[in-house]
Amino acid sequence: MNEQNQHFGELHDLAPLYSVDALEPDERAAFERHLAQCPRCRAELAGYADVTAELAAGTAQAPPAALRASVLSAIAGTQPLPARPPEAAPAVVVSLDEQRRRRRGQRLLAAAAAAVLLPGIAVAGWSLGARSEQQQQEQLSAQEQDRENRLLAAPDVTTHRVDVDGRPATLVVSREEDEALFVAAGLPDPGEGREYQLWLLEGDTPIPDTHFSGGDVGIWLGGDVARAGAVALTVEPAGGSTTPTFPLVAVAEI
Amino acid sequence: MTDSGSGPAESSEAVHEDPAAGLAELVRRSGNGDEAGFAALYDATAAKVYGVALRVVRSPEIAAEVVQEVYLMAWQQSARFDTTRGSVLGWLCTLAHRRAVDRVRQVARERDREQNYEDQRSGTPVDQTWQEVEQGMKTNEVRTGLGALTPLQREAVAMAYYQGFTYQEVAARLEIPLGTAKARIRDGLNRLRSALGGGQS
Repeated sequence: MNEQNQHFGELHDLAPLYSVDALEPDERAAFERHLAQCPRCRAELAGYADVTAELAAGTAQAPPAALRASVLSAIAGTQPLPARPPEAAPAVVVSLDEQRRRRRGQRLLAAAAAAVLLPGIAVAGWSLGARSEQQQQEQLSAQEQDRENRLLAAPDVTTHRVDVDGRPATLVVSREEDEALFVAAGLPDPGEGREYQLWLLEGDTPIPDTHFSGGDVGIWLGGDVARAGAVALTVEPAGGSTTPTFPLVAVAEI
Repeated sequence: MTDSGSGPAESSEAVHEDPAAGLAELVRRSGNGDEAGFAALYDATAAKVYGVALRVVRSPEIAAEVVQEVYLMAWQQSARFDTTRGSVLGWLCTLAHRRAVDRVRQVARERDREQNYEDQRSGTPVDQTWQEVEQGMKTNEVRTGLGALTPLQREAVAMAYYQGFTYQEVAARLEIPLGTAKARIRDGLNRLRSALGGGQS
């Protein structure tokens, strides 16, 4: 309660800066982590909501008329995410910013988790790091990030929890985007000379899709997601198979 | 406060009574997939959301993109937004500001890469930038209570909020210590909060 408190003391100072988005990505992420466990800072932050709303209000300006139609047509015929995710996970605030700094699989997991759990604010934490080195790397991860963002923001995005040998994995799917992302952390090693393989099931026909080894996984399915009714996971010889080896490790209807 | 009846969503009139309660109701309706409710939410809030995005990104095209993203997000998350824990307008403006700031920083980073040497040569035109901001704010600051701030606080808050600078960037541009930049922003926001009558209750 001493060293820790001192650290928290500094973090406590950040609520006003966070409220106007004036933190560097590292600090933003640290504060969001802190926020999840600090009622005092949550309360303090809430106290700034009116202030920032007021700062915003001073700038009010009529948007272009076409924007309304564009926004409304984007949501037309879609449904908001359900109020409660099927398996309510603990209500932690996951910072995409922070996760971005970690390995890809971890990051994707966070993104998937965010789609399931997040109340609005932290969802917006999708900024890119602001370091000027590693531009190349950033460009790549920015593209990756964009792809994730598009999936997560797709009006019809759904998430499916599956169990892989006791390990939770998540499938994030949008038919409209024709994209599916499979994420899992710490998947058991499928064994010597073996790999996991995903399948898209079109009716009863399994279409072979991407294959990968264990560990932290964040992988896009390559096939025609829009036409598939389910996704299955099997263990196959390394390199993948053209027909699935039973039993299925996991299956999710999408 | 009636505990919203379970009747059909026909009460768009209720919006006019208490704006905040009205927005919360519109979010609730949106969460049920009610597109008309969402359209009403857009109509009631879009000028503010667009305004903050435009103020930060300064490009109508990018601002429109930000607005589009914000409302898509709002629609998707509407069933999960806890209206007892925060104001709807605050939520939307926060989303818009965050997204706008991120866009600006992304652009700035790309520009820095190209113009790094030039910036070093000419120095960053702090004064000019600030003048622009102040110019643009003059008409708003009375309304927003920014007038209650000291000029230094106002400058720091405006650089952070309207220009999307981090406090580190504010410190660098104003050539003041980090702690001073932090304090100016924080004190400015606190004073603004008091001016709004919010205070710590």
